[in-house]
Amino acid sequence: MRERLSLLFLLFVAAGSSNFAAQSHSALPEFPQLTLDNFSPGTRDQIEEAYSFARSHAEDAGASGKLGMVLQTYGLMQEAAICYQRAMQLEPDSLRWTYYLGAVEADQGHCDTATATLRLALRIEPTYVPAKLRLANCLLASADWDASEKLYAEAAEQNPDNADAYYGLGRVRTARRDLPRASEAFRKATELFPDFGAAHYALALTYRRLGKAHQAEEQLRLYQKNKTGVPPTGDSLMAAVRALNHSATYQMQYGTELERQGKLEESAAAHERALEIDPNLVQAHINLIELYGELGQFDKAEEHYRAAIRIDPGYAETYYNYGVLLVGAEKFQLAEGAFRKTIEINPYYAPAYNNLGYLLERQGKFSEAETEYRRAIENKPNNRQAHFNLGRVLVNQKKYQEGIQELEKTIEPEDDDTPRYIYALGAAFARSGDRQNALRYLRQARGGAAARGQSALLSSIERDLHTLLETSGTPQ
Amino acid sequence: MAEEVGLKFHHFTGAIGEFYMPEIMGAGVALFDYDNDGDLDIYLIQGTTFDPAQDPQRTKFPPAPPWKPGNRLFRNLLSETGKLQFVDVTEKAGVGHIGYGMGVAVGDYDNDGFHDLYVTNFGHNVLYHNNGDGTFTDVTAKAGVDDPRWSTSAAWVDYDHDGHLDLFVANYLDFTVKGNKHCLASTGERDYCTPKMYQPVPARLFHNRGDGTFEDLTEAAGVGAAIGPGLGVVCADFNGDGWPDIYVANDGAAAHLWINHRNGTFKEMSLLAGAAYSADGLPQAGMGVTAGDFDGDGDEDIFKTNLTNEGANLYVNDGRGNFYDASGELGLLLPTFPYTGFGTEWFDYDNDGRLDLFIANGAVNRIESLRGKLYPFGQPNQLFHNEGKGKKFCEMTSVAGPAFALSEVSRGAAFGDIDNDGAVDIVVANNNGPVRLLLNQSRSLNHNHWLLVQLEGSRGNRFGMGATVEVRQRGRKLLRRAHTDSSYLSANDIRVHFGLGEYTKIDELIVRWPDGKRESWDKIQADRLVTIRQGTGKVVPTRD
Repeated sequence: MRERLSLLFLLFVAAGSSNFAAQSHSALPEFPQLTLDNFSPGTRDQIEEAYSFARSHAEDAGASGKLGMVLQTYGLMQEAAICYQRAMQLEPDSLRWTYYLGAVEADQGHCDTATATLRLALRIEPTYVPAKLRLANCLLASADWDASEKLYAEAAEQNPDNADAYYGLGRVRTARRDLPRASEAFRKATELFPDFGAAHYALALTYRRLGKAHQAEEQLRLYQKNKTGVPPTGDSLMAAVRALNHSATYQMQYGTELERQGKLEESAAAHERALEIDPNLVQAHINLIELYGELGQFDKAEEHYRAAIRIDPGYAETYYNYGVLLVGAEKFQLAEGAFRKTIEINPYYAPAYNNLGYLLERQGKFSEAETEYRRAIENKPNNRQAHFNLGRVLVNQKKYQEGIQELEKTIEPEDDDTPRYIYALGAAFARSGDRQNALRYLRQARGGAAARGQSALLSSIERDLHTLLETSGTPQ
Repeated sequence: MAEEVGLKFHHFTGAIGEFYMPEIMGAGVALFDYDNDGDLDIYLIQGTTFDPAQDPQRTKFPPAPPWKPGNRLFRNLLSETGKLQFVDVTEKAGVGHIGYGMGVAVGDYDNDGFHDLYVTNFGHNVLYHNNGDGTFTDVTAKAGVDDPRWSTSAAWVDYDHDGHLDLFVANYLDFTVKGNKHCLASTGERDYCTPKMYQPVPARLFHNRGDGTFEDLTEAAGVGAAIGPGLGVVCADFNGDGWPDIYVANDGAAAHLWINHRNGTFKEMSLLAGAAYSADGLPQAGMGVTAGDFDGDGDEDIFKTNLTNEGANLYVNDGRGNFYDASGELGLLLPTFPYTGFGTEWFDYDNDGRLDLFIANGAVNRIESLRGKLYPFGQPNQLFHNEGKGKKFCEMTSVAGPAFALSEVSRGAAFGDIDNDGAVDIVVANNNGPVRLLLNQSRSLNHNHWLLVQLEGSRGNRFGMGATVEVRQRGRKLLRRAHTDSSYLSANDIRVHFGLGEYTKIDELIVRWPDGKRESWDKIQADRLVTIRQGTGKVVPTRD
């Protein structure tokens, strides 16, 4: 019953959030009730410390606000909102607490209250662009296009390099069906931040609606190159909230992001930090097997493999990553065992079948390799590498027609690997005695490799083409 | 009011505290007239323990007696007794499969005039052939439609217009009990994993050979070219070329729009069609999906439910299969933002001629505000009224009755006129909870008219699955599709329902049969069920 009452209270105070600046301290909301029993020890300690400090400094806006920040960073949004409301009442002229409250409300989809709160934040500090953009986003979600467009335009005028502001302008204009001006805004956003995935996507859809199919496809291609790329927000206030997240999972996510950016050493360091916080975070160990493998640090990778299976032997990825590591170290027999273990845990693990096929193939067990490649394809029909390997092993067994059918499945999509696959297809046709198709695909591969500046591949293709043409007497 | 009418069913997850993902994802429900007696029967999908040796009574949520394992079939006695009452006929019918049940698809794959059942599982799937005498036979092996992966929604669709229903099966993730991962909430507590922790597994397309067997044409048809963690499926002609396409809601990944190339192959076109992502170009956790002509412009618009803090998508079709997400401007984004939506359907609950929306909600991760509750995933379901072209949808949840005040973990939802009163009712399948029967009382609140159309195909596809029915009335056109798919893990009444508003006069009813032929009928009376037989109408020249 007490819990229900506290929930009602929560809802009550949230509903009145926009008028806090006008309220007196006497109506300070109570601190939220927290049940921390199941939290991880580090997180629990951090929250308890902030909570106890806030309670012992009940009239201190900073203490309440800091508690809100800690709660927000761990996803306790409703509880964070209460703390921000306290802080706002205690320090009505502070942008920080008002902005945080507005952001928390917006993140929960309460755009009605968030709109009022964020307007208040902008009255306190009219130049804080992240607040302006959050407010504009909320207004757009509420279909208040006039107000939203005005804010995006102001943000763009105030900060002409802000790609987010132009992106927002594009979205409002799209909603208004003003597609030519929407495309202008999206294009500007992509010019300001070329890796802005969402803006490329939005621009692609706008071009499509304008009937500009070619440009739409080009924008989709750019979108697919970096789907999640977003411009820096410049939101120092929200960065301060994120910095409070000391959880192992957060560190690991950060490490994964660094890996995505190709920063392998930094990524490994972030994963190690995650393990300092929680040594039992098995996924961090698994990721480190791969990371240290790529960094050429076999012993460290092996160490994390041992740690991972000690904590939980049930993760297929542990064995898969270890298998890949062992292949790199040319410990093929051990690698085969690792891939078989992967499949034992997860019989749908396509890459493990593919790698197992490769190991069997190099032992000359073509028929067994073929079976594994087929299993890889069954579990991932768009597995290009598996189609390639299967095609190759079939051709090597002189099953040309079947092999060529598989290789034909590898020549799309068009990317940097395509010339290599087309080359393989051409070579397969050559071995099958189909000189006409062999020439066709080898020439196509040569063109692709040349266009991409793949010189080593190009010289291989030219050598084969030369040989083929010499035997047939056909001009190049 | 499920229990009052004999619908006693409580979903069992088999949870033992290991947070196996399938526990939180099921289950579905089917509404279909298995015995052709003129009323809708109900088939409910059940979970089980992951370890056969596990005693259900020693799980976290032990089933209350009298509990019977396996899926259950409830027969509706309405036609026989005049009273809405259900009786459990599972054993007699032979459809009590015991597996880790997920979903169900309904279709008459052998054109014998009786609906068959395809049951999806976390594990091997089952095809039940309806023998026409109140019993079913498991013909999975003979038909060749098993799939051992984690299957979710399935749909029957005659994608090649040969008169035989083919089968599309959405598969989800490569989760295995042995490979279960230890996932944590942001606070460090144990919680269900997100789909990102596993790899998606490919969907399956089984082509019906017409002799009771199927062939797996997934790769040959091009459907293996893109893989996603599929949950919801709906088949409709999205680009208006007369051939059924397939839309799949993927969880945490781009949705798939498989455009039918009219030669037995499909191409995935969701990205360029604008129906893959949110307006921000971000993948969302697609769960349930439905397609319907909510704006009366003659094409199929898509509504997709997503995860908490994402909001639902309303992809408005331009008639050529290009979509624009109008969820914000039509008032469906913010009200759906706080909830994780699953089962959903376009349906006209107040018979005003406009398609409204129901959403079955329930979280998949702990809800912080429910901390301390035994099962902290409950959320209320939602009802939205279509206010007409260009206007925002109006949320009716708070005035829709006590069923909407419940906060449960709803998943599947099936739609159909269960009491044959002309108003569409809903059966909601709750995860780790009781089934709910939401009987539509709107007929007592308004005097709107209605029409229920049962199709009878003469050249295969006996129930006209995929046919479109158009009602012309006082200058307006109402377009609906005969289907059992859409929603989440569930199967709807195949009869086509029309709300007619205050007018009883129907100027013309036009059916576009799945084979592309069009026929029209006039002198159709409102407020009744009519059976429309192929070949008995006036031939309408086809446009293509």
